[in-house]
Amino acid sequence: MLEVKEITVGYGEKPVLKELSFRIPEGTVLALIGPNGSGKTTFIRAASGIIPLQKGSIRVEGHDLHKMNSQEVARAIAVVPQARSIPPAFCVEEVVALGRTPYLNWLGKLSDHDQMIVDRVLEQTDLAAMRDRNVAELSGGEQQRLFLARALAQEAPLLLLDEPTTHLDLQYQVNLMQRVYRLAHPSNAELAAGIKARTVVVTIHDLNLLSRYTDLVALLVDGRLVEMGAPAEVLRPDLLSRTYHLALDVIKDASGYTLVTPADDPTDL
Amino acid sequence: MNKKNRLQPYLITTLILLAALVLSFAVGSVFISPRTMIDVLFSAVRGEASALDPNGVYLKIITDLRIPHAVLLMLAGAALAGSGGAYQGLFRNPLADPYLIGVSSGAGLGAVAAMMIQWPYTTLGLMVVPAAAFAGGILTVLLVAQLARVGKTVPTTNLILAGVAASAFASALTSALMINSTGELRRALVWMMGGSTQTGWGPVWGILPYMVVGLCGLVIIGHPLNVLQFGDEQAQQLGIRVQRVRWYTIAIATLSTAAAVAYTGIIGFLGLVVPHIVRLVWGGDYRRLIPVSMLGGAGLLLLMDVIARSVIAPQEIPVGIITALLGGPFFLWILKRSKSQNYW
Repeated sequence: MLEVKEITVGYGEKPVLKELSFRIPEGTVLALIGPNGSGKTTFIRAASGIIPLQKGSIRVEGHDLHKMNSQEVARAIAVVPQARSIPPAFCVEEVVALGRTPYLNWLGKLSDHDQMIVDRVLEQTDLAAMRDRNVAELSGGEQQRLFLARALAQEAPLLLLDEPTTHLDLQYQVNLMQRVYRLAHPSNAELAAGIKARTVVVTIHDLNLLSRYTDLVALLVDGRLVEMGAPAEVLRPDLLSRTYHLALDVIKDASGYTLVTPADDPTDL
Repeated sequence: MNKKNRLQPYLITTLILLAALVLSFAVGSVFISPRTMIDVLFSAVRGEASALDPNGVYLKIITDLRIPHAVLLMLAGAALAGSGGAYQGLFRNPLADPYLIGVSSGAGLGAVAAMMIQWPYTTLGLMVVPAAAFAGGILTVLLVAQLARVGKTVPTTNLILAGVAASAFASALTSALMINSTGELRRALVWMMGGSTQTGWGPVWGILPYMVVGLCGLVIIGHPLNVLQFGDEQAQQLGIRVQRVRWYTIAIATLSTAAAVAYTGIIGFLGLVVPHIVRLVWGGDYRRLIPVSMLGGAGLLLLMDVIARSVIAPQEIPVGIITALLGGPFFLWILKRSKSQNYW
């Protein structure tokens, strides 16, 4: 469970997030949406302990983030960064093993238990076949999956993903979001195998992926929470058009999922 | 890298080091063949005089001159290569090495300043020089990192430019100090070009405490440096205390460099070249890269020293000249290669 209570966060004097509050139960995928500069990435950085809170508190499963040291934070919260630059010196398995860092001392020696988790995560993310490949040879989608695997190896109950779909083609976008959904909603077989349901916060720009793969959507504008609820409640044409300064239509596809599309007609421009 | 191959880098560099040691004991103003060497040493262990060395001259040359000289160079080579690898990992920059970022020159200035007060002859006196070198080195690296920093990163060009500037400044001060000294000028000059002028076991004992701390300290930072390759933010999100690792690495790498510089002078390029060879051949995992670089650095510096002592024998060239002669072209090759390869 993630509980965010009246947090104010900023760089210098001007706050980027203002009195932000929400809570989401375990096993939920929350999408953070909003225009560029609305504070989505700042939230990820604040929630992972990179920038301090000026006010308020963040609790993960009841534990206050600011009473933890950095190792404890890394065991409670795992971040999947955007896969933009990746040091080429490592193979896939080595990078996934770095996810065990919060459980290791400076020597970084993996125990049998650590290795077992690395193996399981490699299987879970379909990376086992390429475990010895140099990471520089991976495609963008594979690199993003690699970072997801590293975060899973942290075994943290809360996962934060910072615009994971931005640089991916449609196939990888859908593939990644399917995996993310599955992490919060594991199958019975996975639950029996000891895999726990994760709580996931994902920042994302593509509004059409939301209603399929997320449980909740929070709309941030200018550092404030404007609306939060099920995708269909937040994805309203009036609200979105106002937020993005753009005429938008919201339609349902054949399966009943919500899609957002521009309402203009380019031949009129 | 599979388990069978994990020992390979250590084995190969150790073999090179052993071969270099044998050569280093053999070559000098008097050539001592390996056979003679073995006979002399085994006889000494048995407490007898060797038939090949009735007067004990060879034994004295080996134990009082060649062995301490080789140990001094081995330690220096290990320290320079190990700290070069650590600086490269810390600054995430393939061009960082103790020489290019100015640490060597800063340490040199500290060492010369200490030597000017009194040229060290006692063991305690010999230990003051590395301490002064450490002070000079740490001041320089802090200054360079501060000058080169843009926001939270240290761009390559800035780092090298600031390093070269600080290095030139420190070298100029060093030269000025030496010009003003009356007696030991030639000795200091040879020292500055990377030649060990002190003979015997004194300098080895002088730097040994610093080396033990520095080299052991370097070996254990491999894992945090691996994590740091993903950037400060990701490292912190993986539970690494980034600032602590940063200060620790700077302190321990500078200590090692200072201990190396104190009695072998300013030896360039070794700290740059060796970690790159290791990285090219065996990959960039710092848990392996740093100890293997140390073994390789120790072997390589010994070999360079053998060349330095034999090209215009019986005269000796300061070994720093040889490392720069060979390291310079290699450095250019790295520059060219690093644009196209993804090993870094």
